[in-house]
Parts: sequence; structure tokens; C-alpha cells
Amino acid sequence: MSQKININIDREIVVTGVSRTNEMRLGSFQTRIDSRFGSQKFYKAHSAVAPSDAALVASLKSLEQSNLDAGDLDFVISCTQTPDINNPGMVSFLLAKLGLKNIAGLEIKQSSCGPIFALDFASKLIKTGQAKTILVVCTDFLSRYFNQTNPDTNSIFGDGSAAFIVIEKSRLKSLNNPPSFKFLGAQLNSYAQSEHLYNIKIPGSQRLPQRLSVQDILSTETQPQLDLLGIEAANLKIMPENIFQAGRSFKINLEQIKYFFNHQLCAKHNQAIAAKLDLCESQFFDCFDSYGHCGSAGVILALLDRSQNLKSADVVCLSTLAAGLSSAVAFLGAI
Amino acid sequence: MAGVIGTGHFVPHQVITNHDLEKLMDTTDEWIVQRSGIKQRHWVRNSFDSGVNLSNSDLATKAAQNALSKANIAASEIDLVVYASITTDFDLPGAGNALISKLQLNQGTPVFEVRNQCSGFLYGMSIAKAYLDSGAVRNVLLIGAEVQSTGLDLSTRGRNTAVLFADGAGAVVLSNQTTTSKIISVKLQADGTYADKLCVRSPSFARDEIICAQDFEGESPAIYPYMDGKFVFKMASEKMPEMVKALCAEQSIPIDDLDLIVPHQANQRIIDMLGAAIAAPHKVFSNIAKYGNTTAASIPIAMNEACQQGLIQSGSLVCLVSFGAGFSWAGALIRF
Repeated sequence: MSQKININIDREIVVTGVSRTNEMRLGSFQTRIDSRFGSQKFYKAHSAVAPSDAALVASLKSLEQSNLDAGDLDFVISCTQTPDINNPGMVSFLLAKLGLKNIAGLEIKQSSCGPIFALDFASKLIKTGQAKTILVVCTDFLSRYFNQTNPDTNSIFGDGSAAFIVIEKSRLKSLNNPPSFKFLGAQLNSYAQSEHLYNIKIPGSQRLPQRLSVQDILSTETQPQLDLLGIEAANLKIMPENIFQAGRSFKINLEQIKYFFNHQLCAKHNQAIAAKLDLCESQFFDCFDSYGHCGSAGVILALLDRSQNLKSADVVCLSTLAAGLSSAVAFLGAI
Repeated sequence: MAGVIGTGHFVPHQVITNHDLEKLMDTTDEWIVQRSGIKQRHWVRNSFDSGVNLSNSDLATKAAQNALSKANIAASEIDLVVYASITTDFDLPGAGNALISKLQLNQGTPVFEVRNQCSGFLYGMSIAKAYLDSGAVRNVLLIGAEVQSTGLDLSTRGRNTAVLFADGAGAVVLSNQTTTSKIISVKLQADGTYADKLCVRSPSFARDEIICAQDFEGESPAIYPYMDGKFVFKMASEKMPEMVKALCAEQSIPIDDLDLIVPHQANQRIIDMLGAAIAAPHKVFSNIAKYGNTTAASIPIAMNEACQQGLIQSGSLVCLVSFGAGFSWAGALIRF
């Protein structure tokens, strides 16, 4: 990425080539029954499939749908909390598999908020002329955190990968392959430490004397620790406020939003958020029962599941809550 | 346009000399200095399995306080934080949320968490620059912080890498309210072909068992850093001078016009190669002898030291350049 100052705030930014990894290539399809969430399906990646493999498939589909080649990209943003390895991150493996050299490869670790943080940053790169064609890949293999002794994690996590291209509209060769969207705006927020709600403490650099020991293989601290009631409370407090604020900032009437794709964790949360915002439950779409919680991929999977129901000028809202806590809200207009 | 209005750094008080390491592994001060130029480093732990419990976010907080003080602005005036690290306090969440508490940033201040190894600080600078140049925010806190010492093999088996890595944090406050300083250009590159030449292979989500017993065994256990030193040296020695030359060429700035080059502090021999390749060894800053390789923190620590020593002053034209695992490499041209 070479930067030359060339700001044009009127540049129309398009999100196109929204795609996901083909399930048959990703892995097996499983169903589980949980007393709190009911019957659910989720995808579990085959043992031989790495996160970057799934990211590659989603990326190639995204490029194909956008009528672009990998060589057209000048920036790749990877969003994951489950990279092939932590050092270097997944983006290195993805770049190699895409055959890309000497372009920018950024990895951000924003959990479920990854796609919206990446989308907003990508829009700023385009507005300031610092990049032209940006691939965003959101991949998480959360099932690999499974701890058979922990029903909280067993009943939630799944694997998934989704990708999209962020590009200036004038650079698109065609818009014949929906779904494509105009980027209308995003609001990003992070909050003071709430690690008790959702954390994985090991490996963590602050543990002395070593961040990882052989005893940790069986430790619950290498598994996600979740306070589901706490997460629900945070979700219901933070998300309605931030969706409302974002709508006001971007002058978007929430009642006219076709769909809200809120954090893909629990349909009951979305019903409560709809009530708090005085909106119809039918505006909120949840695909948790189809995929489980897929981290950074979740909200894009939900968008794809409803994309065929969208017509030109429909506005949708993506919103996510992530460990930490962070939240993100974005508005897209269907093209 | 984005510019630098404050720099700061912080390292743990615990100094580990090469002679301290001689007590833990079969190595010598002479061997370490010859191979790397490192004489000492700062660790949050001491060399004998204990230490003060300073976390990554603690180091970052102190570095950030230093930078905010230099910038003469309050934490509440920060609109965005970019936090580069591969060694956060926990695996999840990252250290950014802890920073909001410890630094008393406004609730809701967004934090980007960047995982780009030794180039993380400069990759983070591209995020800061995009937000500042677009006018979306006014002040950004950019941090590089690492605690490497708790992930090293301190036996003779691990000496090739354990002697290199260290702990520390550096921070800069960037703003579009300044009329003097300007980030002229940031350039980012990566090539994943050689991802296995410098890596930590466990934990791994590329397999069903994220961590397994075998990861702790063998001549090169997967849980510790692995480095093909000769190959990394060769690539870094090529890519860093190329980056400096490319940045200057793209902006039509003669390399002679640079007042200082602040490279990632990985190895004194790489720093020397950089100086020779651009025919300006006297302009290349080095503090690796004191701090070792602090990964994403090395450039902001070095930049702050250069400011303290008067090598960077108002009006100075400075080039930052990095190379690290991935491989990813990056550069920035800044008018102070």
C-alpha cells in the first residue's frame, strides 16, 4: 500500500462479493440439542482443514463474484481469534495461498466485531486514497475450543468463514453479481475490561513464569469461560443504545431498516433488543440455529442468508458485541 | 493531516544481562553480542522463574501516559486507540479493554487490536493515519507493547531465540490538529511464502487439538519461537533497505534529506546492513544493545529515545522501517 493524500469524502464505497465458504468443503454438518437454545445445526471443520483454507475458499468466491482477480487487491484484512497460529497470524498463510506478494496484509483481533471494524477501516483507506480494492476475510473455527466438560461452550460454538470486497464503486467492473451494498456508515466502540464475561486466559503473556505449560492441555483456562447471563445483560444494555446512536449519527430511520443482523448468539436477545428499540421482531434476523456462534464470520453469514430477500435500496444493519467488551454497528444499502 | 504530537515508552525495571543468561543456558556474553549486538534486555520476570507481575497492558499504560504527557493532552481527548501486540495479557480478550480501564479513556473509545508481529506498530500507524486523514477522529493513541519473556525457552535448547526477545512498550499520540508534524506516507507489504521461517507453531487452530503434549517436546518445541536465523537475516537485510528507498522514491525525497532512520531493533548486524545499503550508516538509530528485540514495541521505544537524545526535533524528517514474521514489512516517512 502506497499512500498519497487524496481525500474524497464523496467517494461511494461498495461492499461486494459477499460470500462464505462452501460447507461441503469446510467440513461436516452436525446437529445438537441444547435445553436452552433448542435444536441447532452447526458446521465443524474437517481435521485437515486449517482456518486459512476456509478463508481461501471464501476469498476466491468473493473475488469471483466481484469479477476481480487476486491481483486486483492491494490490501487484505484478516479478522480472526482462531488463526492457524498466532505468530505469524492467519493473514500470512492466506496471502501465500492466494499467491499474493508485496501487498498489505493486516490481521485484527476483534472477535465478533472484526468484520465491522475492518469494513470501517477499509472505507477510510479508500476515502483517503491509501488503498483501492480491499479484501476482508472473517474466519473463526470456534468448535476447536470444544471442551467436552463445559456445556456452555459445547452448546454455542461452530466454524465458519466469510469474505467481502470493499471497493470504490467506480472501480467495479460490474454489479451483476449480488449481493452488493453501498456502505452508509459505521460506529465502533470499546469498553473497559469485562473479561469475566468471556475470556480465554491461557496462553496469556501475563502469567508467570511461562505463558503455557504442559499441564495447561487439560486446564479449563485454555477453554473459553463464558458468563451467559452477563453477556445477555451486556448485549441488552449496549446494543440498543449503540444501534440507536448510530442510526441518529447517520440519519437512518431504524423503522425503515429491512433487517437487523445482530450478534449471532441467541434469538431471545434479539427479541429483547427489538422491544427496547420499539421495533418489530421480524426486522431482526438470527441464524444462530443454522451455524452456531462463528465469531467474526457470524454476522456476515446472517447477511448472506437473507440477501435474496433484499431489493435495491433496502437498508440493513449489522451489529455485533465482542469479548472485552467491544461493539460495532454498520449500515449498508442494497444495490 | 496526521502528525506526531507526543512519544513515550516504558520498560520493566528488571534488567537481564547476557551474564544473567549464562547462568541459565550454555551461552556467553561474547557470543550474544557478536551475533546480535544485544548486551542486556528488560523482562517483566527475572531470570529465575519469578518477577513482578507487570502485564502487557501495564507496560502499555505507562508508555501511553508518558506519550500523553508529552503531547500535553488528556486521556479523555483520545478518540481512537490502535494497539499492536502478539503477546496480550490473555488469549481473549486482547489488552485494549484493560487499557481503557487503566488509562481511564472515555468509555466507548474504539480500540483496534493489531496482530502483525514486528511490523505491528507500522501497520497500526496506517490505521491511525486513515482515520485522522479522513477527519473521522482528531487524536489517536498508537501503541506497540510486548511481553515476550514469558514465552521463551530458557534452557540451552532455546538459546538461539531466548537471548533475543524482550519486554517493553512504546506509544505515540497522533493528531490532525497539529500544523507542524505530518505523516507523509505509510507503506505496508507482506509475503506469506516464508511464514514458517519465523513462527511459534503452537497453539494452532489448524488442527483439532489446539495444544498437545508433543508441542512441549523435541529439539524445537512448538510452543517456543522458531527462527531460521540466516534466512530471516537475508530477507530483512534486503527488504528494509528496499522499503526505505521505495518510500523516498515515491515521495521524490533524496535519502540524503532524511535526518534519521529508525529501524525495527531485531539485530545489530541487520541494522548495520541497512545503513550500508543506503550509504548512510550514521543516520540509522540503534538501541538494541540496551533493550533487545521488543517486537511491535521496538520502533516506538527507539523513536522516543531518539527524541529524548535530540536526534529527532521539530522539523526532522524521519523514516521508520520494520521487518518481521509473516513475513511482513513496512515503512513510514514522518516530518516531526
